[in-house]
Amino acid sequence: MKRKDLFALLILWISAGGSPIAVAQERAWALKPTVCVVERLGEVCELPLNIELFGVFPAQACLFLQSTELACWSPIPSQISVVVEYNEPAEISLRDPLDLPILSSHLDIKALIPVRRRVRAPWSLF
Amino acid sequence: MSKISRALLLSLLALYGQLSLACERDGTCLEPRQWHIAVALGAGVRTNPLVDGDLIPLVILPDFAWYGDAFYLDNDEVGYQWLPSSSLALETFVSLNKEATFFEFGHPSNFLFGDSLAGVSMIGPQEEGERTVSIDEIAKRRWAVDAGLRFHVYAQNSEWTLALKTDISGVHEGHQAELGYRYTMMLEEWTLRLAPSLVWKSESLVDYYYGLDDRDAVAPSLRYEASSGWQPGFSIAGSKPLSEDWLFLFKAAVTKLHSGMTNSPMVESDWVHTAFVGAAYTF
Repeated sequence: MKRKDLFALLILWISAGGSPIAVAQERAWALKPTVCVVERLGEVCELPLNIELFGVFPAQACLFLQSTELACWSPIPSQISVVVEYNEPAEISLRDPLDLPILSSHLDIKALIPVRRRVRAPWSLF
Repeated sequence: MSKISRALLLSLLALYGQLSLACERDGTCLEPRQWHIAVALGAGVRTNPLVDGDLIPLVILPDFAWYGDAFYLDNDEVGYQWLPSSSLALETFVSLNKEATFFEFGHPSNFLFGDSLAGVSMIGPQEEGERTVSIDEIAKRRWAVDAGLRFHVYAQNSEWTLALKTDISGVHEGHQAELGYRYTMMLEEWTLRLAPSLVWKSESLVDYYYGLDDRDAVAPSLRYEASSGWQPGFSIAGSKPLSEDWLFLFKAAVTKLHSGMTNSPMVESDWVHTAFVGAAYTF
């Protein structure tokens, strides 16, 4: 495979919302997509998320976005579709009945209207 | 949107990295050509190292900014950014020099605050014969305006800055150099910023404010020629959203003053401390 093709493949893989499969004690999941696009800064994004699970999981598990519980299953299916809403980068995690994390991944958010980084810290007057 | 179009769009967003919302939470990123106006209400104070210097109360804190494609206004600073990228930035600017803050109220950082702490002295009764000069006995120190150049290097959660400033108002004709580092942490809903800094102030600057000479009505034995020096500092600031418009905010900072300044008879403390806790509203 040519170098140009490799680069194109890499860009497509990064941008298609594919995430590396997270592995923890022979358990893994693949989330797609992991980036939500909004028009402008601060808007809430609704992301239809497809999750594929691999390995053996506890009899009961719950899905969390940050500290908010989204759903629980007993037993947990190998494929999950869920709509998540967030307005800033967030952590999605699968937790067991003891609230211990089984798997977690990062969900990003991007805005179409670019933002400017301030040259000074907020409240720089004091 | 087709998968390939979406892939290309997200690739550009990922590669240029300027559209991340991570910095929006604490107000370090703004939408261009939109005014950002916020006011924090709370309780805080900045200590005054001068003999008979009043504590500076921090009750109402404004924060306002407007950024165009290159031109910007950010609180007391107006500038033009020549190199705005996600990893490097360079700007030239004009800003108010805050050295005069200790000498009088009326500075933008505290003009809105009440005077409930005015008149409260940081020091106790002066010992008889002590070689000190009250700021009430000296000539007025004027505000200065600086022009400068600032360079930024950004990493994922951190930022290095180097700023060089010079007095363009002819008040003291001194210079200042600032090296700063800022590390930003996201802990649940909290945004925390740790910022060590190192500031160098030239002899002209320090001597104008802290030297004692012909302009001051003091005995010849109390005259003092201040010298340049380095001032290390450290600040920690945190914020947490309370609602869409309200933000909980705190800041604590400390600066060590250099001996060329603190040996002046009008300076009685080697340190400046700042603390503030409050809630901020963004309009």
